[in-house]
Amino acid sequence: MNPILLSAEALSVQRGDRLLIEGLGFTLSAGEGMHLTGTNGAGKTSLLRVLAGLGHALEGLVNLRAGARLIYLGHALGLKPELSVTENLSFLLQVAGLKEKITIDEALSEVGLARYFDIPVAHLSAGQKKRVGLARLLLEPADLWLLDEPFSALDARSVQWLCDRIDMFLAEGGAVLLTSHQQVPVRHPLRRLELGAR
Amino acid sequence: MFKTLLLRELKLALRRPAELINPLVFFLLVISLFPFAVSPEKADLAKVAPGVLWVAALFASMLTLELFYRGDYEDGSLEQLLLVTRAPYLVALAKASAQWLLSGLPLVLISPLLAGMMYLPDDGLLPLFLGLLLGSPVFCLIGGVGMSLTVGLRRGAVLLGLLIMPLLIPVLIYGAGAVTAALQGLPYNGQLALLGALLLFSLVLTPWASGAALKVSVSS
Repeated sequence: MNPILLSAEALSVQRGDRLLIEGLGFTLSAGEGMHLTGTNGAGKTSLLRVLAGLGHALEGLVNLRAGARLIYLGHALGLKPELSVTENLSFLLQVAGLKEKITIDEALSEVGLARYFDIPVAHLSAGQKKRVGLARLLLEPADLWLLDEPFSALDARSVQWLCDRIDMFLAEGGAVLLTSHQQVPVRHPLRRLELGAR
Repeated sequence: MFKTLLLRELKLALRRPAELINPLVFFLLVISLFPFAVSPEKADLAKVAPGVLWVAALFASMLTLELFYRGDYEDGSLEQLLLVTRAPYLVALAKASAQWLLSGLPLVLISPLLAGMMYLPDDGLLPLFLGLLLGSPVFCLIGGVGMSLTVGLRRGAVLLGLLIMPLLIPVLIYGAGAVTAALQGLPYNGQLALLGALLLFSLVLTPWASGAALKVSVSS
C-alpha cells in the first residue's frame, strides 16, 4: 500500500460566516488522484486553500507527510504581468531554492509557449497564462499537486496534454487533488469527492 | 533568498517608473505650494520648514506602499511567495527594503534641495539629511506592517492611516526636533540616536510582524 501523503480529519471550513464543509475526512496516498466536485459555492476552492496551508480550518486537522512538497495552482496564477514568462518561472524556483526538473525552455516548449519566453505575461491570453502556470508542474519537483479548475481557459489540446501529464505524475508516485466542473479524461481512475452546497 | 526577493521587488517596481516618481513629485509639489498657502516670507518659512519637510516626506513615503503589496496580493503571487519561501519575514523585509531604496532614499537625497526652497538655514541641512536617512526606513518598515494587515481589505487605505500614523509620530517628533535643535544651536545627537534606535527596533521586529500579517491577509 502506498504511503499516505495528505490526510484531513474532521475538517470544517467556513468562508465569512458561512459554514461550507463540516467534519470532512479523507486520505490521499502517493499515486492517487482525487476529483473534488460540487456546486458553485460548495467550498472546493476554500478546501484546497486550507489543504495548501493558505487558509485556516474552523476545526479539524490537515496532515501533509513530512518533507512532502506541494504545488498549488489556484484561480490566480501568481504571475507578474510586468515580468517575462521566463522571469516568472525562474523566480519561484530561485526563491524556493529548487533545481528545475527540466529547463525552462523545455517546459515552455512542452506547453506550446517556446516562442513566448521573453514576452511579458501581460501580453498573453488567458489560456496562455494558464499554460505558463501549468509549466510549473513540469519544472518544480513536488509530491502533491493541488489544482483548482486547471482546465478552465484551456483549449481541447491543452486539456488532453494536462490529463496526460496528470497520468504521468500519478504513475511516478505523485498525488493529485483537483477541482473541475467538467469530466477529467485521465486514464488513471480518480476518486471522486463531492461537496454538497450548504 | 533575500537577495532574490529584493531583486524581484526592484525589477518589478522599476518597470512601473511612473508610480515610483509619484512620491518625489508629491514631495516637490507640497514644498513648492506651501509658500503660496502660508507666506513667502523667508523667516516664516524657515520657522515651519523642519515640520513641513518631515510631514511631506512621511506622506510621500506612504504613496508607494500600495505599489509593493497590492499587486502581489491581487495576482496571487503573494500567496505563491508565502507557499514557496516559508519565510514570510524575508518577503516583508525585501518589500520594505525595495520601497526604501526606490522611494525613501531619493526623498532623502533631494531633501537638501527642497529645504533650500523652504529657506531652511544651512545649520539645519545636516540634521535634516541624517534624520531622514534614519527615519525614512522606519516609514517603510512600519508602513509595511500596516499595509500587510490591510492589503486584503477593499477600503484598507483609511484603516492603514489610522493604524500606522500614531506609530510614526515619534519619528516625526525626533526628526523635526533634531532640525529645530540645530537651528537653535543646540546639540541634536540625542534625537538622531533615538531615530537610530527606532530604526533598529523596527528593523528587528517589523519584518516578523509584517510577515505574520501577510499570512493572515492571504488566509482571510
